[in-house]
Amino acid sequence: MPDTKNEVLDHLKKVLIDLFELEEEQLTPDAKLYDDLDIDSIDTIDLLIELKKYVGKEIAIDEFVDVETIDDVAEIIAKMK
Amino acid sequence: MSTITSSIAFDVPFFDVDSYRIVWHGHYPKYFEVARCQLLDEIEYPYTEMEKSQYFFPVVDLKTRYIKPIRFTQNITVTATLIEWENRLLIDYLITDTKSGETLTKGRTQQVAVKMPEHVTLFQSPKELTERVERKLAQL
Repeated sequence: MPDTKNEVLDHLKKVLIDLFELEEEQLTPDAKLYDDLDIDSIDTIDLLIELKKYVGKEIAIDEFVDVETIDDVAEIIAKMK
Repeated sequence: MSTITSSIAFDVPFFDVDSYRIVWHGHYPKYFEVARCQLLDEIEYPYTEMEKSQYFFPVVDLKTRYIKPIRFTQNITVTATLIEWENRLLIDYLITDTKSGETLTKGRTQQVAVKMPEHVTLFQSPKELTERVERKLAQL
């Protein structure tokens, strides 16, 4: 199981590309999900379902309420793994 | 693994067909809704109960694949199948010709829980839904 934040970031980028047809160049760690990547609240649910599969267990949804950037998401996921 | 499904059959009414004499594409979501309501009745969490528990479940995504046209008087069977419920309510639909069993339409809707009266979209389904689904699955 990959655990480091960089590995989580790499996986997260792959998921974002697969789910939302984003370009890799857009996916900088400081890219804001809502403002820069045009991800909406419904997309967020799709993303959480994918990340749940990756983590392999229930994830604490509440922690994602205030996330803004790709790096924020990776930080939380890395802690959960 | 067991799945929760619900089917309903009916004759296509005259007022649903367009100038091509087939069901107008905009009516299909209503057919899905009929099957969906029956499915929600079966898990004992219809829209009225959702509201009593202070949640709305609006449809936020809808997909329809119009495989074959549906015609006036044709008897069709609409089947709704519950696919996901933990983070969202994902339901698949299949419309078939009741007599021949031929597949006519495939569809999918996504609904999310919205806490009322705050209007807050939830990323996780409330236990009022998940417990009912689990109870129903245990009976199958």
